[in-house]
Amino acid sequence: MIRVHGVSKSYGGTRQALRGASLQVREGEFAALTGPSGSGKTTLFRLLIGELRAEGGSVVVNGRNLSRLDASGIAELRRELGLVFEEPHLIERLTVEGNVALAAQVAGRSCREARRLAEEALERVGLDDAAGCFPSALCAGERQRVSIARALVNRPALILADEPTLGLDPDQGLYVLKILTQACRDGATVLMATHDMEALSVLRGRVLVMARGRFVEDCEGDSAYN
Amino acid sequence: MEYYFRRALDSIKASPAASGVAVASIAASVLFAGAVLLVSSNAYRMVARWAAAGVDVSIFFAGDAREADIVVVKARVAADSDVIDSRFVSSEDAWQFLADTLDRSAELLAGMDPSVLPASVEVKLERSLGDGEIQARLAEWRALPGVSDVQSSRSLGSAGNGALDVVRWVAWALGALTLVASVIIVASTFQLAAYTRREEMNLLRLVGAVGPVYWGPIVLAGFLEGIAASAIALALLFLVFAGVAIPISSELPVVSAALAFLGARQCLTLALWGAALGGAGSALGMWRISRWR
Repeated sequence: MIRVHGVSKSYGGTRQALRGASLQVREGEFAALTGPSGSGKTTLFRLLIGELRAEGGSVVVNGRNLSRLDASGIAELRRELGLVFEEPHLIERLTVEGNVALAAQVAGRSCREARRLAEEALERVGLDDAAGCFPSALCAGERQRVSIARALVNRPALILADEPTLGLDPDQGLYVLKILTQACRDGATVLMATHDMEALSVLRGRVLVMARGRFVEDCEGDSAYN
Repeated sequence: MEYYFRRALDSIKASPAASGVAVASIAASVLFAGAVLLVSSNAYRMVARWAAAGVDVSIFFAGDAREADIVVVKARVAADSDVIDSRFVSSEDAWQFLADTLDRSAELLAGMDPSVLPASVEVKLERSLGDGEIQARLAEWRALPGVSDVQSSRSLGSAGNGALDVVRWVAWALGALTLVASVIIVASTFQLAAYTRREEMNLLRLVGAVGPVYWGPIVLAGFLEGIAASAIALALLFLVFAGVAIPISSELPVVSAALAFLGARQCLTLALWGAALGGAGSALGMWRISRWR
């Protein structure tokens, strides 16, 4: 599902964010990506969604080699992915349902179909009763769940989440993790970047640890947390 | 299609101030173009009506012309086989005609001497006559005793057409300048609207919006604003036309038959002009925003 091989990336040619990093995430897997600030997690995330181009090595996502994709190929890939960011990036003047349905409309669904899928996705994140609300009426955790619903609305095979629990209170953070693990049980592959030790303690999946632009640990469950 | 319309309407609602400025600038452009079109089309219609009825020639007599001079002129005109009709108009008849034409403003003539208007023979010549033939007749009649001046509608019409050509070229030049200025103003307005929504546009790109899905709603919003602006401009133009044409028609009945508002095709052209201006302005605004990224 994700194959990263010997990838390097620097900013301004001086600050090396990734140094020959390699990673493989198989289909149906839940992998957490952790490491200190500046270890290269966000840079890797941005490479995986085609926001940045690698200077060396190869990045293959959903069977597509990103170095060979043009702008429309990248856009097509993004429509196949479920993306969750640290900030929910909601459009304040659209309702919760409108925000979620937007991703389905961008993927080419009719408005009616997009609304139906948005209702389903909101039900999956426990916000079906908030469909008609505007984002400003929601708390931080609920806003993040709306962004997860938006990521789930097209039933993507791969979900990439960058620090989805950052800044949330523990209960809301746990709720977010529960939704992502449920999506994995439903068949999606999930790669989640996080600093959140509490989140890692709850997860029983694979944990990848980065430091100074490389993967330094690749372990499972409790051993990862320890 | 519903996606594009919904997002376009959302876009308009999201930035009402910027949309208002865009609509106002497009409406100003359409109003200007419409006013030029309205004035020139009415002027053309008047000239055309005037020219279509044949060639009118007025042979004016000098104040000291004798009765015998008038008889000679009448006889010479009557003998011409290309004259369709002719009639003598005395100073008093000319005065009465002017008073009738001025209608309610006729009191302006009170206290004036009717003899200030010269007597004349009004001649209608065949339309098929060439300019040379008409000029030869004018020269011949001008040379008759007691005649002070001879004027023909064809020479006046030619002068009028020449003036209208100048007006038309000036209107085209002003129209082109207005178009460029409007596109720049509208593009800047839409650029501002797009800038205020950069987060949203960034999000759209992140979820894979590309091509028409990305820029289509914004361009459509510009198109819709252009249509709304055209409707406002046409309504304003009609109100101004009614405000000006009604008093003119009552004061100068002879002019009223030629006065008319723009036709359906011209209104449609102006609406399309406004819509195209909105679409082009928003596309240019989007292009400028995308170059900043």
